[in-house]
Amino acid sequence: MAMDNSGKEREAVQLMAEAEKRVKSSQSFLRGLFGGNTKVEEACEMYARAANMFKMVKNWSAAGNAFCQAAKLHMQLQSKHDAATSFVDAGNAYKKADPQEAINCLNAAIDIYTDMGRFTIAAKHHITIAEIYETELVDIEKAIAHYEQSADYYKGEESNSSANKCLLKVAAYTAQLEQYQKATEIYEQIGTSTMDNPLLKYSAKEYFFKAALCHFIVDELNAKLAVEKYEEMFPAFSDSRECKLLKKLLEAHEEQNSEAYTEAVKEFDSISRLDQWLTTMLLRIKKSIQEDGDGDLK
Amino acid sequence: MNKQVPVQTWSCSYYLNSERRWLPGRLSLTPTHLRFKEDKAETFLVNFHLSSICEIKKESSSYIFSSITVLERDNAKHWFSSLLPNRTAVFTILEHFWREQLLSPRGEQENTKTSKGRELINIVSRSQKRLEDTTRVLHHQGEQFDHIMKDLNKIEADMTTADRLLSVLEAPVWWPFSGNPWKRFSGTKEASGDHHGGKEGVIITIPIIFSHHPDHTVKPGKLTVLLSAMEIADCNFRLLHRYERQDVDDIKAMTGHEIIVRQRFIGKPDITYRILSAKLPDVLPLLEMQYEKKMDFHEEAAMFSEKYRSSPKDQCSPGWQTDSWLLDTIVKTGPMAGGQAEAVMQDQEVSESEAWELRKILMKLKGIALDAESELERQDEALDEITSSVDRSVFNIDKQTGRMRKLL
Repeated sequence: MAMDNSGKEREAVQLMAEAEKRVKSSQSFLRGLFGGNTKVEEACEMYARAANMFKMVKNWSAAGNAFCQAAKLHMQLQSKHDAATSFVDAGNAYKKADPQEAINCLNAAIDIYTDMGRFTIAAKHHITIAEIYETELVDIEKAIAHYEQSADYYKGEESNSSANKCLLKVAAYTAQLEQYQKATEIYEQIGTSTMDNPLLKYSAKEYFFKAALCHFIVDELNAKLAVEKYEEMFPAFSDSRECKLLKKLLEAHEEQNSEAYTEAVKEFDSISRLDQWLTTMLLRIKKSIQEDGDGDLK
Repeated sequence: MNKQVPVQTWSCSYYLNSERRWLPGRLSLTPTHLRFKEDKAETFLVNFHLSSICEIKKESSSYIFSSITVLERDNAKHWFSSLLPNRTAVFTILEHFWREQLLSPRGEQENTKTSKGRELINIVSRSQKRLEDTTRVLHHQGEQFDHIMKDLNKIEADMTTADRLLSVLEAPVWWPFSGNPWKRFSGTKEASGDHHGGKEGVIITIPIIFSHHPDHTVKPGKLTVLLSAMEIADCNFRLLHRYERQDVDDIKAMTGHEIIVRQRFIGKPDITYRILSAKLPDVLPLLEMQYEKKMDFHEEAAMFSEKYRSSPKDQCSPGWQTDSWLLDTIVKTGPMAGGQAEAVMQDQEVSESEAWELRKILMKLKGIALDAESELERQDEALDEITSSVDRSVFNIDKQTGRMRKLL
């Protein structure tokens, strides 16, 4: 098994060298005049084959590099579409070994796609980049920026539900980073845009709930006003368990009653389990009660 | 620092970001803090309060160790790997204690009894949650279908253009008109058979202002929409241009009051007219009917499109109230069954308020189901149309490829 693999790898390396030779020979003056392009085309194909062999033996960065070379040659041949696909392949290969390089490749692909006016695909790759920032590089700010860009492109192409998906990510992360103002705006905007849609209106309450929570962390009074506003805008909201929870929490907070607060959260959790985002936000509010109160959480 | 007894400790390794290496050590959890101490070290390398956690995740690092990551409030991510006995156990415990920060009051609390009614509510609201998620997915899917339809229509419009251009190319070089002489002849024959009644079947004539494309000067004139063509004339009814219906390649509605009609050519400029008129909103639906796939509505014009006008209104759902009888019977049978063992029955019964809540949720569930049904029907229709459209396109492409091969 191991023998087999090293054989593949050697073959791939040979292919790479061969491809490089072709490219060099195509650059000589006479070749350039006659059929230099077919040489480059051949080299392209070789790089792609080598890349696939590297993939077979799980040498991800070598595979990424080979795809990248192929992409550059495709650019040279003016076949933009092929170049973009190769860059995406390169990005996917690098993703497993060198996240930063993967991002560079995907960015190159995005540039080509936006140039061709293919914004939906560009948006998709922005999401991939955002996910790399999110999980591999833990640079949430950059992940947010890419999700936002993606949402913009989707909106331009009238793919509103995809755009909303990205915006929800942005809101969740900005709230984590304590930029509550921005998060609130996004949740409110999505809430109002979905409340009239026959299918999406059922989720609107969730967005208003989250918007109100973000208000709550900053300022209790604002949260109160916001809840009133949402109820007026979207009467179904007052009926929801989310709204009832908010009112209980607001009351508990006003009385600085941490027990009542916990009780309300617990009741809500017994029916639908709180996800991690809600846990985080509710904990932050709870902490503010305790800090204002006796501060025994130190 | 406070010396709390750890709830549990695990041997694990911690990724030191600054030095890019894994440190072996022990992870310990107290009721309020998460700590990591390197083997043989004195102080805690990592030590933070549970309430500053943002997220706990199971992830694999790039070196294919399964690990747990903890995202702290100020955006620091901690990687713990090689966890013993296993990752899932540690994860569950960590998550539990984190959530307890929120859920448990400081005092010990007796377990609240759950009545039958509460349990029912729990079940129903969980299904509501699921259904809500489903509607979101359904909506997303519907949007995707719409996009596919739009693109397919574009493809079909392009195909008819290609078809026409191919006929031009197929015509002998000496033939001065556009189109293949033989084809054209047979085509007109068919067409003239169609409407020999009125002279040309004029549908509507409206006053317009127009400009012929490269030229930006606008002139007043008349637009006549016929059954088989579109004619642009000046104010004296002198015919300036006539678009045969099959010759029009695209019509762009810029606003409700402005359209651009275009016929494409190989080797010479397109014939493009920009038409403005106050009466256009009346004509647009007509054009849309005649040239459906070639019409292209820009944003502001979209409201004039038939499709948007007839977008489904919130239909009232019939039989909205009928299903609550079930609950009524549950509530009514409650007290009747209660005999001597009243105390036991108390938490078996569904109380009035719980029944009310249940009824509300059930009604909502029904609403979601009905909406989902109508959306599904819509998607079904869209799928049918997509299938037939794809069939047509495939057939057309085959035909055109054949013709192109002949031309080469």
